[in-house]
Amino acid sequence: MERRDALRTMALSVWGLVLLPGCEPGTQDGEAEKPHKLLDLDQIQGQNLESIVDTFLPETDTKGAVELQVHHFINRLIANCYSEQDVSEFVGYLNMVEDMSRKEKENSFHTLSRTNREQILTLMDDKNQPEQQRAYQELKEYCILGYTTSEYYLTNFTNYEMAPGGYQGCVPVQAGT
Amino acid sequence: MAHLGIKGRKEVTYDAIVIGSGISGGWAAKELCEKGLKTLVLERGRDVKHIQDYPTANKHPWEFEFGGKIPYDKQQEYGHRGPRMHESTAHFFVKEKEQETIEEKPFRWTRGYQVGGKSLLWARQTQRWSEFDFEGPSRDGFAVDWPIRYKDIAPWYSHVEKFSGISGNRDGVPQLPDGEFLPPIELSCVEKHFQQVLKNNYSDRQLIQGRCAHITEQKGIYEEQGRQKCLHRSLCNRGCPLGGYFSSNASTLPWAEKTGNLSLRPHAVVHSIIFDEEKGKATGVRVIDAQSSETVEYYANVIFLNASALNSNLILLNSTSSRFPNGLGNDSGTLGKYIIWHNFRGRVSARSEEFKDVMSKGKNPSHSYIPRFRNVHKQETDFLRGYAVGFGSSSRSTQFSREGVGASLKANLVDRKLGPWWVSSWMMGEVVPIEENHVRIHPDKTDKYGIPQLVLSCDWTENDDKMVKDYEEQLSEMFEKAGFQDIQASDSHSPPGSDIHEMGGVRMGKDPGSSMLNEWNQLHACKNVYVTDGACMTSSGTQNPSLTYMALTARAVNHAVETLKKGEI
Repeated sequence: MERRDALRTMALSVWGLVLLPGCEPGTQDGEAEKPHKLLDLDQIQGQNLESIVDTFLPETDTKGAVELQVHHFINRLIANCYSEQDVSEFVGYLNMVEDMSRKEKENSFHTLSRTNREQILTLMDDKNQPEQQRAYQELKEYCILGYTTSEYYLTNFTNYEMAPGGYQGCVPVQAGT
Repeated sequence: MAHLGIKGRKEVTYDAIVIGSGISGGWAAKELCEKGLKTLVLERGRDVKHIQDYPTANKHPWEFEFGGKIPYDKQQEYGHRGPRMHESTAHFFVKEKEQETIEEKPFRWTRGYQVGGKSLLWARQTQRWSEFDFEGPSRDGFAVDWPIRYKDIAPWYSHVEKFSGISGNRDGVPQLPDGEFLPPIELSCVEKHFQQVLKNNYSDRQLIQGRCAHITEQKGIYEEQGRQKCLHRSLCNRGCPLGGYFSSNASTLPWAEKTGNLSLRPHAVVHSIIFDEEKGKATGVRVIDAQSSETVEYYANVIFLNASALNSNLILLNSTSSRFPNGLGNDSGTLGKYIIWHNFRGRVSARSEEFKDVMSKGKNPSHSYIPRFRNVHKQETDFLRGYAVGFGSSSRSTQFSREGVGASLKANLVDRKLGPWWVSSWMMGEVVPIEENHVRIHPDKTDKYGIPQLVLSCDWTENDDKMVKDYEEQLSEMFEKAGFQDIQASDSHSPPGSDIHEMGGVRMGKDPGSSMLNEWNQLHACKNVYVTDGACMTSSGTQNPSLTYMALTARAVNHAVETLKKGEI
């Protein structure tokens, strides 16, 4: 028993050490006990998802979406909360990005330079190609959703407060709001 | 105490049984226990203890694994509501398989089967009925006359308001009587502006702050309940760890428990009320244990039926005997008929391009309100009755641009700017009861407990359609006068029940030949059964109904205890 407890403690501390620095969104306590499905993606699709997230929302003077694990969030959300048909549509969007990349740059999307990746995504935002445009819009919306619901975003760029304590209906606009 | 001869019967005999632990059942329990009656509360769902059983109450948005969405398989279990369910509150809603129904006509029946019922999920708006509402059926010639008037219920409104904690202004509106109010939440600049516009342009319309069951000022009575001042979290439906708003869980049930007279029995699905032909009264309740499927009987001198409007109908319809072959107390043949609800179909929204130099701070868990103004003093439109209006423009939110890819998109997301003030309104129309709008039990089909399935057969009438149109026209005109822009009026055509204000089927009335309950909420034909949830409503009014159920319940308990003392039931 003692040995087992010791192991568990160690595992926890290792878990903590590994995961704490980048714990937004969705690496809270208890997640390990709650297994969830992940999308059945091949290596390229998986790398492209991360790459798409990085392309839409890169690290700048503020944190990037990959650091916030938005690609894991999107994967988890689609795999668990949508119908089979929605899941295959989503995987289709990833494939459309790859196809466009192969066609335009003759290489896999995730291997391209940032400039080229941005170019591919921008090309897809074409109103004459409604399917491509839809893929672009959907992928972008999931990135925005993941980013804007992260702890980092909500606590740094919104006036998020769980318990504001009151309500004032008419105060002067303050600088910076 | 004649039951004592039967072995073990003593353990299952109480002074009173309350069926249901929601907003009205909780009140029945509190009042009965305070008056010294050993009271059994039967709840078909699981127990939900205040604070400890609110698992999501303190979760931040980023702590939900799927951003708040629930897994797809789970969505399917909740039927039409599934895709919109949020992980923070899903555990307080009922899955379809728990109680299957037959929608002869489309109906949205929202149930909260757990201790506390829907008092955990309600919108917390609490307006008194007025004389105009009680006199409505008689003046306008529909349904039957209410056996009570405002003066009968007014002291009981005060009684429940003081204990629950209702915030609001004393507005002096005759069709919406003032009550015992805690300080109001303030209006926003847009709401104040709209209030002034209505005052300047109409003699019959008034914007007031909503009256809501939130503690806005701490007092001894709330401290005694262990409740605190509302901190404007606006996460109410997760269960409030502060007890800042009124629920059975935070307020009436723990209060009842403190008396030592309460027994709470979760997982007790009520099958029927037992009628003793010889005694000519109800003697107990037949229950199916949801976990073991065993049938258990409990006995008492008086029974309060507070199972939620439609489920109370179902229980009475399923309580048959040779004396009552068509359901307990159903001599009139009106049981299950004259089902009513509120017409929430209409919405009018807009935005204001003014008030750019001001904003809101914090959160408003409530909203403002326009009391009914149609046909109040006399009939003046081509439809009967009228509608109240919920009005919301309490927060000026920020927004960001979604343009760009890469660094430019990122820069947009973090550059949030104050947007315009959005303005929205929704109607709460009185639905006029008709016999055709009914529920009944299916002769063969049963649910997983072997209880007959409820057939839901309710639909809109032309009166409702006309009322939606009038609301759209009137609100659009009022919005124009206020200078609001981009005014959008719409009719959702959502099915009855979407309002979660279903009522009636066991209506009160003077005449046992045309109603089920008398002026004390007793079944005319079985006086030791009281029905004080939404099922008792003769007409719907335009007010959010919960406060009226609370007041009717406290009043009925007082009557029941006095009558028991006199040995009359």
